[in-house]
Amino acid sequence: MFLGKKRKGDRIFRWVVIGASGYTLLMLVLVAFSVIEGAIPVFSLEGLSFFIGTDWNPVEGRESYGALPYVIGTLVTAGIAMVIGVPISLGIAVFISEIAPPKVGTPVAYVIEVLAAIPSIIYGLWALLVFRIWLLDLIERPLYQAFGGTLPFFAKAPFGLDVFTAGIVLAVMIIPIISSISREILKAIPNSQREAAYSLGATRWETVRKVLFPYAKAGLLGATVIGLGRAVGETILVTMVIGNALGIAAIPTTLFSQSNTISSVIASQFNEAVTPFHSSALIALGAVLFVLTMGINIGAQLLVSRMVKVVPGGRE
Amino acid sequence: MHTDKRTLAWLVAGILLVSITPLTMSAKAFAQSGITLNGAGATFPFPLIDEWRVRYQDVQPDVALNYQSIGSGGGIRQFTEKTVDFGATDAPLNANQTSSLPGQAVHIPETIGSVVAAYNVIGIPDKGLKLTGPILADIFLGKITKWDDPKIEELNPDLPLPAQDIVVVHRAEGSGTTFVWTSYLSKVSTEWEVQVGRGTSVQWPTGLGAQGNEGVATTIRDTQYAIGYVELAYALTTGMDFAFIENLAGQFIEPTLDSTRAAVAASAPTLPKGEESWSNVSLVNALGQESYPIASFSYLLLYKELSTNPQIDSVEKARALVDFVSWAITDGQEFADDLSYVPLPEQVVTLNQETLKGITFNGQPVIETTPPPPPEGEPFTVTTSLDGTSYTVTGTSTFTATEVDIIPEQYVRITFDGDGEVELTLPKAMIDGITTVKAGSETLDHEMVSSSASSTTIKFTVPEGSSVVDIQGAMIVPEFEFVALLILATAIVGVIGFTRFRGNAMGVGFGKRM
Repeated sequence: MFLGKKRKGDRIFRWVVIGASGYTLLMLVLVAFSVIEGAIPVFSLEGLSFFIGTDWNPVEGRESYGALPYVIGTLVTAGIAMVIGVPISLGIAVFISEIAPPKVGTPVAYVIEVLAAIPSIIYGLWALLVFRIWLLDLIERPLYQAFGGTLPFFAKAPFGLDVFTAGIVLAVMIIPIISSISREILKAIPNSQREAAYSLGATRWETVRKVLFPYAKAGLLGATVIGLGRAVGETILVTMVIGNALGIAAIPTTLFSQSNTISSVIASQFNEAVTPFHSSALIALGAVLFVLTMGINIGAQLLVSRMVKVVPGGRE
Repeated sequence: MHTDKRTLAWLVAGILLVSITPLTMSAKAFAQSGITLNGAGATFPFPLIDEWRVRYQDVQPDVALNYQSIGSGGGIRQFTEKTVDFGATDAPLNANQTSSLPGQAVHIPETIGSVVAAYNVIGIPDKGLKLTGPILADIFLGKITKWDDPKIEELNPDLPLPAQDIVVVHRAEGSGTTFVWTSYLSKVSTEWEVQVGRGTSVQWPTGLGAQGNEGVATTIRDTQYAIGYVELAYALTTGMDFAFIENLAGQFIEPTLDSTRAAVAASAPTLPKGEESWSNVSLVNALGQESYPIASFSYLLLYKELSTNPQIDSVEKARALVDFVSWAITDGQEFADDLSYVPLPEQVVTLNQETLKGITFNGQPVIETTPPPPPEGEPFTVTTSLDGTSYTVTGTSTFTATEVDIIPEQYVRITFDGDGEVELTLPKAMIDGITTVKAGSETLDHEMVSSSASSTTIKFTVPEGSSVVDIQGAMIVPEFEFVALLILATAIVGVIGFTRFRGNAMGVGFGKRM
């Protein structure tokens, strides 16, 4: 009798679990369907040149939409965020798990967890009201004065609301996320690896670089990809500090150019998208973002699986 | 162990209590409110409409107003899809939008907005700067890039204009403010008209985009040498610096409530009737010596035939809606000044009143329609009591009701001694949200005559041969709160019992393994 009861429970459990996973698949299909359906009008207007177009003119009678500037804006801001954020995150993770004594490491880890839980709108407000002015006075203006004449990268008078600010604030936002995941991964490395390295006479730096990083490579890459995903999809924070340029003006030509990302264009314009083409163009942007994030994730998966195969001593 | 379980059970009970409370409260609110008018649209008039929502309670306690400021575009969409009773927009409906409406709509200007050019330049005092439309267009086109441009210097010979780059700030999202601003620039500059045009969002050739009036204001305040545009009301309340603008008569006009009102008064004779097309109505660059040139109406949208929208399902609701709007454009205007809105000039109020007179419900004009006459006969009163409370039903008919019975939570049964037309007033404490009236198995047509905070009056015809009528409603004594409390109490007792005896119930209790 007891066994019978248990078998029945198992069957129910099985179906509940299958249902739960079916839900994710169903969601994916539904999202893809409605996004594609909503995007049809703008593709009938623009054709495939929607992907490479640089115009964004919602004025009735002159409508013309192109996604390219926002794809570039998204990639550039996320790129800046990764360039700044990943080394710092790894540094924090290594410090907490390898160097700091528990008395220091635990509170630091705790603070990082708290930072990771702060909603992005808070970072956005802080960035708009406080941080951008520091950035402008302490970094952007000096950079502009020093290199503005010589390097095309800095050849624009900065106002504090640009891709550079957006990238840095995004980095600030993703550092807690990447570092707390990376810390967990480093902590999961068996102590035997470290002991072996130290007993061979390796310094701390050599241990981290030659033993721990290769061992945890796949996991660290995964943490980075999660951060990248957040940076690519982040909406409101970016909208507040990126300057919200439109059309050809949104392709950043310098570090201090105003730009726009896919999600921030959608967020700013959807409420007042009066014409059917306008709202359709925004949905089509959503489709582009969907493809972009899927591409990033698939690419990362491939990279991880290749790494795991190639590197001896990699996990599993 | 024992205390753990108890604490947890109490916690769960507490969460249940908290989550169920709003349910009972909303049921109560539903039972008490008579008619709710739903509107959606422009954000610009929101503070004023919200003030009306509060003030109108003193005028008509039975009518509740619910306005969502989701933006003009969203307002037009919801109005077209008939999900709201009225829409609100800062830009008049254009030809395309008009053609996609399910019926003819009327524009009712309910307030006036004007837009100012706000700036942040050290050394230029507040309101010291003079600008013209073409110069503003050139600045926003990116053609004038320095504050000491000869064109600006010529107008402001006494000001210490710095040799600095102008930082242009505009709205990032679509907005009525942008519509007014770009309408003005299009009117005064052919180049702007050709290259950019007018709209709630446009392809800006240059500048920073910021979210909302607040965002633009903050960005201007924190960015030296910035210029941007914000609503007058916003600029006044936040104390920003803004420029004098040259009007059509060649005067440099300070943006104020008075100068905006002057612009509207100057344009009033040319306004179309409410049901005509308003797509070309524009207050920008108005005639008159005193007129500030960058102004615009904000509109309420109603269907001319209110029954076009199934949300407006009774003549009472239609009347409540029209009454509210006619209050808003007359008495409601007195709240405008305090909130830095421009009250409507008299000509516009008169125009609106004419428009409202043309509004119909099922073909009948809504204003001046009198409620249907009560049926012939004598008034009567019957009383019943349940659980110690007595309820009185009054009515008028050629016959009388002999008995009222409350079947708790199901229906109210009324016995008559005759048949024919009857008007009944039922206390809301007894029955509310009346849905159906039945004689045996036959459903009778009933008409809602009126509804107040405490009672509902309905009218129906008792069919020949029946004497018993059952009235069903959303709420019948005992009140919903009581039922909810009962369920809640059961739930609490259940949870406590369950966790105590099972130890590990629902994964919330701590079993012996702990």
